[in-house]
Amino acid sequence: MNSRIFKRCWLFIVCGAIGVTVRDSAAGLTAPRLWPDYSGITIPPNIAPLNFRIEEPGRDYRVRVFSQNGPDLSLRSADGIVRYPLGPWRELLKKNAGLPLVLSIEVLSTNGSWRKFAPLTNQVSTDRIDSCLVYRRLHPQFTTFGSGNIGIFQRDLHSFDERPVLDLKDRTGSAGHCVNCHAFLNRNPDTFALHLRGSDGKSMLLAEKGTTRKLDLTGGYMSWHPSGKFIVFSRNKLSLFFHSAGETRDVYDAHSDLALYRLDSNQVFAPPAIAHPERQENWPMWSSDGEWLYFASTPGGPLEAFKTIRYDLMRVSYDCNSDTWGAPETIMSSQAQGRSFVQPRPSPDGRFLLFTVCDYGHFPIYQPSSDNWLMDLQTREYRRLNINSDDSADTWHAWSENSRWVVFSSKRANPLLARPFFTHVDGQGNFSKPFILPQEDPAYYEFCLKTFNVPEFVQAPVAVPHRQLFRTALGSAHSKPVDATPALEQTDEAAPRR
Amino acid sequence: MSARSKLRTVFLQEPVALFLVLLAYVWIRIDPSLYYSSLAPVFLLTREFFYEHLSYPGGLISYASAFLLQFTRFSSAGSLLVISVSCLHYISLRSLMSIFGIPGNVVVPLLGPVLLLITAQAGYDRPWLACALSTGVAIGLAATISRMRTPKSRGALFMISAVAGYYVLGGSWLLTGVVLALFEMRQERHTTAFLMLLVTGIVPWASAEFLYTLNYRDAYGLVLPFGIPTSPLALRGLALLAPALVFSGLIWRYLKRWQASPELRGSPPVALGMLAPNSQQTNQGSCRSKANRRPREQKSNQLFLIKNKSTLRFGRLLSHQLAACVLAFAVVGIAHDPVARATAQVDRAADAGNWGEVLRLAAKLSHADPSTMLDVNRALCHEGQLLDRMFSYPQRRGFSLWFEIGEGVDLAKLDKASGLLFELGHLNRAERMAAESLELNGPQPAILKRLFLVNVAKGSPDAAKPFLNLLSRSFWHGQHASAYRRAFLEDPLLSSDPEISAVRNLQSSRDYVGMIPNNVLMQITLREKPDFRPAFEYLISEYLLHGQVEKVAQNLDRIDVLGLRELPIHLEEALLIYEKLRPNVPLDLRGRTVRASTRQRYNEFNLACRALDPNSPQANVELRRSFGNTYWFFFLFGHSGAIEPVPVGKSRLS
Repeated sequence: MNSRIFKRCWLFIVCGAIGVTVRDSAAGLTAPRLWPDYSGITIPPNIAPLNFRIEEPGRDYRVRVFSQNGPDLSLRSADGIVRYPLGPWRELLKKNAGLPLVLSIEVLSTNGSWRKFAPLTNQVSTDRIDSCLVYRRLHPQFTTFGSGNIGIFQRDLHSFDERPVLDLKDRTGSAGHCVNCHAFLNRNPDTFALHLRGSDGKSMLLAEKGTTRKLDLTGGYMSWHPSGKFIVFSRNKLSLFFHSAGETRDVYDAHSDLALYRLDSNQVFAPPAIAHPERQENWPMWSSDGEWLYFASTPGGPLEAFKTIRYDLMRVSYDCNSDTWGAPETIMSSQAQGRSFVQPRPSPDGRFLLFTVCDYGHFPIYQPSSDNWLMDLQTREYRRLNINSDDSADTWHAWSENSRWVVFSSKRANPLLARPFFTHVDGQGNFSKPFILPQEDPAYYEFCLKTFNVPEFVQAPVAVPHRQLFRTALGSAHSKPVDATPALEQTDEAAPRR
Repeated sequence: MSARSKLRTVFLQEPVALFLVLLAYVWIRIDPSLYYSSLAPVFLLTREFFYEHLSYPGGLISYASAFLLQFTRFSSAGSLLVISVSCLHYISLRSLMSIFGIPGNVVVPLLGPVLLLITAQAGYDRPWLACALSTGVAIGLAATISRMRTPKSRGALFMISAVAGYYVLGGSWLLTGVVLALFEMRQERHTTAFLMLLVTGIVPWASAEFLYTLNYRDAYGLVLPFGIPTSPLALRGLALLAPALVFSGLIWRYLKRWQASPELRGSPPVALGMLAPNSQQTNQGSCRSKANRRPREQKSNQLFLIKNKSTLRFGRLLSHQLAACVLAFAVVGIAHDPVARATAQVDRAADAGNWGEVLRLAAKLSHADPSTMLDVNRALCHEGQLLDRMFSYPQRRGFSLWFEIGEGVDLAKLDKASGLLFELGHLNRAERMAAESLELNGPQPAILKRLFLVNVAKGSPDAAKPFLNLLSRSFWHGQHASAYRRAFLEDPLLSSDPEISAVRNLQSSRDYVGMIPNNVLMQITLREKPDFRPAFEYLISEYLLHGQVEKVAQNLDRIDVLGLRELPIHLEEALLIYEKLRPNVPLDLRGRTVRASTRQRYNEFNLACRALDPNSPQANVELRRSFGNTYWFFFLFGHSGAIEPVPVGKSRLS
């Protein structure tokens, strides 16, 4: 065998039951640079291997992972790329849930001596993460969309397996389709809705327990009532506009309201509590008990004054049995804070509310000032999370089923392209250092020209076959008219397309 | 037979010399390197790019053609590629004709290469290679399978090719299926033929059902030219040629039988009589069934005869070759479109920033599409001649620089708009145009480079990095990307790069939002950099192209800042029109005067106009001769004199 090839491919694993005591003193040693930065983080006991690349110059690399309950892993790499084998990695995490993992890295320098770096420690949490992440992946989008460039994908968080939930390709033609804003019922992979835009118009795709249908209904941001009986969605008049300096893109919402789509009667309602004529409501999200609907609301304003349009964070109570709404209540006032509050996300345990704060408007991903904030719903205390990046957007957040993990899209690694990051939350609302969604090839993000948004946890892989969703999405025969109240006639989203 | 005689036989029987001449023709006349610049074909050395092509029928042939297209970067390699594909079609067709017993010697199979070369020179921005390659392979496959002696082996190979062939060739495999079915029909195995046709029709349908990400139109049409609006007629002809020939062969055979049958023989219609086959030729080319095979002695006698009459045969073959050569050349030569070539040359020169060459080539054009007009105006601006010579080149009223996606903007050429906006310092707009192009046209190297530079210039090296990384995986751009990478590692903001420094200086720090018209965009630049001459020239040219002479007059105060001693000629010409339209409004030329020669010429123009009816076609022709390069002519007729007053599409090089 060619020795060079052998050397490059060489990766050996020594699995043993060596009791861990990190004997090497870290004093005087510098920490190695890794990409992605998987150091000092808390990781789920069921996450895929955190493969990385050692960004230190050298000819050969040795990595040892020590743990209290073993097995220890020893890996060697000629190019600095460290890929953990799936089986031993899973075993390592399983046996060391709640314990630290220590990484010892040594690099063979060009002069032939091994350089040792300060050991890195990661904590394995006992809190499991949901098994799947569903996100939308697309180019940094402007006004056109090509064929099949926008898709919703599901990623198995226990491995590197990624499959499309829905990506629409039209190979000989040029007609592109836009798929967006997917919303699951209680993180249940059986039941979800998403929005479609294409040459054949706009519609909502609904998947319920194995059946799929296309509705003649345009829903922007959606949230399922936990009972699964209806969906509250925003009806926006959105337009993309452009800046000549700084971030190029921005979104203006000329008008919005919330509406309610009842699945049993196939009807749309617009209760005044969520569709106030003098307010523009947006970003609806139900609490997990279904008794509160959180949303953002603004009096609106013209495009010229876009920087003065700010949203309050509000909530309204709802009684599912009597179908009655309470009075809307402001929980974060834009006027008092001088910021815009959007994307409310209550945790499934009902303890916290996570939301995004930006300088203006309702679309934080295009504003570097966007940060995630946390409100303790018991005390109503709120704070900016210390895990936010300083000058990049952090938004599109979602809670895991056990309320212990949060995923969010962040531009901290790339100011143009958002990537999904995970962070652990303890019972007191303390967040751990975020880490990027692991990929089999650590260089994946360095070549990926697509942005990840709307990451949503799902408890299992999406049950509806891609084939079925694909056909329903493209088949006009399945399209079902919806009885929408005339007062809520749909307005078009102003985004020209090819 | 010695190697020398074999070679001689090949030279005599096949048009090798013709292909050699055609190679030279393609190299010199067509210049395949223009495909590379016009198509900007994407081929990435990444697994994802390969896997993407594995996911649909015809993906492999598309992958292969994307790979082969990379070699059109060099005219020599590109010529070899074009001729190789032509040869593939020739050999496949010839083989098929031989099997089906279709007469026609070398002339008929040459139709394939001729149609292909017509396609190849019809337009440089049309992707035809995948279709030409797949149809050639499909016909070759059909010929190969038809040569199988037993029906069983043919059937087995057909079934294998029904899966593997369709997966590799996509819709082009339909040609294989149809030709094989026709062959079985010829062999009078009508049930087999019917079954083959059935399978041929079902395979794409089943594929669409199974793969489901293919719609039915794609399943049948992938890699075939049908359904693609821009595919040239010749390419459609190329795809249909083999089935048409084979079908005509069948008709031929039925005619022959009809003639041979004593009951049916009578007086055939005149047209059919003219088509009556030569029995000797048919026998030579017919299928090698036992019934048709000649006795061994007869064969050897014939060989003996040929040997003795070699001189006669040599002459006959030579005359055939010459006739085929002349015919092929005539057709290919007549179909040559010099405008398409010149347009592609302008495109290439502009992409390389060779502005002098752009102007030299554009001077020959009598018609130009918006993309070429953009290149020409950019070249004129770079050479400092935009306001002096722009109407010496093709210009049309209402043409706008592509600073916004809208009517008239060629979405395949958005990189041009991006490039222009980049050099004018409008980085966000340049980024937007490049990103739109990335979405619609894929990761073309020029777009990846632009997005890298835009993000570096904007001070976002982390955003720039993935574009540089992917550029390094482009087929020919690894070294280019490495050079950037070295500089990038030393200084992620590339501060010492003159191009980056220049655009950074031009970039406005003020944020303007919304849809900004071209003239306002240039005014924004001039507000911050009043002495930036290109912005002034584009602003005035925008007004000139829209006939807004009063706006030209309103911007005269900018001349002082620019330090222009004399007014540009077209500006003077516009001011003279303004004077005539607004005789009572005084013009402040900031101490300058309109040159006497310009006034003199204007008087001559007015005199000439008075002598002619401006609405008559004759006026256009007469005035074009003397005043075609003036703004007055443009103002009057809505196009510059460089554009011939003929309907678009019939224009030729002047």
